[in-house]
Amino acid sequence: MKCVGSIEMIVRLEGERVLLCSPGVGLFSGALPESSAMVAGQGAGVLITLERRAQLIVPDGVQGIVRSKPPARLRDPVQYGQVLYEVSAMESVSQATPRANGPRAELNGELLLRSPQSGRFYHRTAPGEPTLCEVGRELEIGTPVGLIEVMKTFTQVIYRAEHGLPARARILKIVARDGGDIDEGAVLIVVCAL
Amino acid sequence: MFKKLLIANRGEVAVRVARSARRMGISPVGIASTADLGAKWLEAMDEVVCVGPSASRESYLQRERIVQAALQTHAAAIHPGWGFLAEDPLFAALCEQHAVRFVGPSPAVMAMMGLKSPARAAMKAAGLPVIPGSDGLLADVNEALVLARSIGYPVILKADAGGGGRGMRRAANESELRAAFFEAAAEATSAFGNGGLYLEKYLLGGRHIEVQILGDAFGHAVHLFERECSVQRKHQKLLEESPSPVLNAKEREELGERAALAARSLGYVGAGTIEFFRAPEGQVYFMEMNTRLQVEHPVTEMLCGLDLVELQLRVAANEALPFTQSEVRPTGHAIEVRINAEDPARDFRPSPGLVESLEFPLDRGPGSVRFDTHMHVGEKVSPHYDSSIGKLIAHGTTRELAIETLLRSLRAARVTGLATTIPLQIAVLESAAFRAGDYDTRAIPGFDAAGA
Repeated sequence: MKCVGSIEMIVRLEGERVLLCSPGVGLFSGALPESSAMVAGQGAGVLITLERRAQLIVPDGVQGIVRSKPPARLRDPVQYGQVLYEVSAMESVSQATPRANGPRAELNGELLLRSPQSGRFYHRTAPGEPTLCEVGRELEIGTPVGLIEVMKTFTQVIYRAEHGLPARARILKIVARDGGDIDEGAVLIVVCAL
Repeated sequence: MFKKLLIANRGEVAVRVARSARRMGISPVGIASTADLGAKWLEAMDEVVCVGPSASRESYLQRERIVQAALQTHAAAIHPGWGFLAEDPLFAALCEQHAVRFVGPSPAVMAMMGLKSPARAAMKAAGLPVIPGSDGLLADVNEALVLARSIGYPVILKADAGGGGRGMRRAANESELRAAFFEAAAEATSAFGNGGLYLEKYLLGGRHIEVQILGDAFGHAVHLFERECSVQRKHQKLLEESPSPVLNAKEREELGERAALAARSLGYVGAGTIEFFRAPEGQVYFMEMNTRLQVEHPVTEMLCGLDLVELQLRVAANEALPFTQSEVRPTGHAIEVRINAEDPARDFRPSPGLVESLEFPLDRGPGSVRFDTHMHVGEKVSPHYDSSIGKLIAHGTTRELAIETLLRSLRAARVTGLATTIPLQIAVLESAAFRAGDYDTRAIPGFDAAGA
């Protein structure tokens, strides 16, 4: 049976251990044996979901030796996130370390538009619609700057001259990612007065 | 009967379905997103398969992973609950392809009735009066504007794949319609993966009355009477009761018979709900059909003394309905209030937080009380999913006794750690308008005077 696609495994770091986890639900087969070498981009078995086979790919930055035993079953039922491989952490994962200084520090003195509530922030009102978060865009009272989803309810984020923000402003920088989770009070965009 | 049932849902829905399954000797298998792993409600399951990360789109809406989860746990059937994939004909078809029984009607019936514009056409063809509106889906905002001009404002946009009020927006003029169009499309895309919208004239001052129907694979269909769902906020039902205080015995019987006839003509197998709009003058229009179990099904269960999930499972296992229409005997009155983690004092802002206490006394009589929930003290209401904490349902021999019973339990309730809709529900039940049965979808009785 040929593979119809390929899918990267999920990397999880637990102390020194590098774990490669299932990116879906299905039957895991063709596992690499213990002590095999593993490099990024390589195929390392197959995940069969509803008879469709997807090759499991070793994600970027992973390189090492497989330390786990393959499953006893030829087609082992696995769930999302289940550990498929444990890899020795030679020079393994070059995960981007989270920046110690969040955007707040470097934005001192700028005008910040903060989120009125926690939820998921979107840059556009609908997929395919133009982005509302564009550097250089001019804002005035009532201009929508994005959409927040809280528990499946969508609310527009409307620019208002409050918390020290001027009546008219220009977007200098976008801080909150499109589709990213944000907390109440988190900075969405940086603006300057017009 | 099935030995194992996979429940393709989460939270209160999953717990409710698991309860009936277990009672029937069926082993419940749950699915979970990574955000739900470790939640108490999963303890209702014999097995759990993690199907993806927190976003519903990547977990609870992953059709293929869920069907695969049923296959690899050897579950013979999938109960979709309500919400998520419950009205997704592609999901039902995928189950069928892989020989897993989908607990619900056939994919073809779902495709027709689950999508609102074909359903409207089918019911129009069947002779039921429908509300003036678009004959199909709107191509874009311009088509919506042109149509709205011809039928007159106010209008309402509805998600073709919608349900539970998601993707619905009302508009009183052109600029409102423009804004509403994009918001509704975004909401519908996120919630259902389908941004298609249609438009109807928005009728003011009416009642939302729905009829529970149930059909088997042998051409039998019965109705289990109506639920009055006119206490709403932004098309989200807050309280449901049965019988409707506005229907007389003859109207009630007629409405039920019509719904049962429609179900029979569709060859409907499973539980479903036909929603009607009743204008203040008494005309009744078909609104939509929900091809699934409803959130408010306990109202009907308490009224008729039936277990709808059990009946769904029996019918799905090709058993005949165990009773005829004349054997359905509703007694007394049942009322349900929805307890959500929302703050009525702050424009119903979702209030996700830690549940510090959660107690509803169930022994305050004169009637009986049932509390359906998945929450436990010390747990958080997840910000990833809807804000439901549970539902409190009371049954009494009369409407007055049902109200009194529900009020006693609500007043003595202890729910701390987060804001809930309890104060609102008490205000509704205490209001003169609600007591008199004199309310409609425009305003919440006892809470707001003007529009909801």
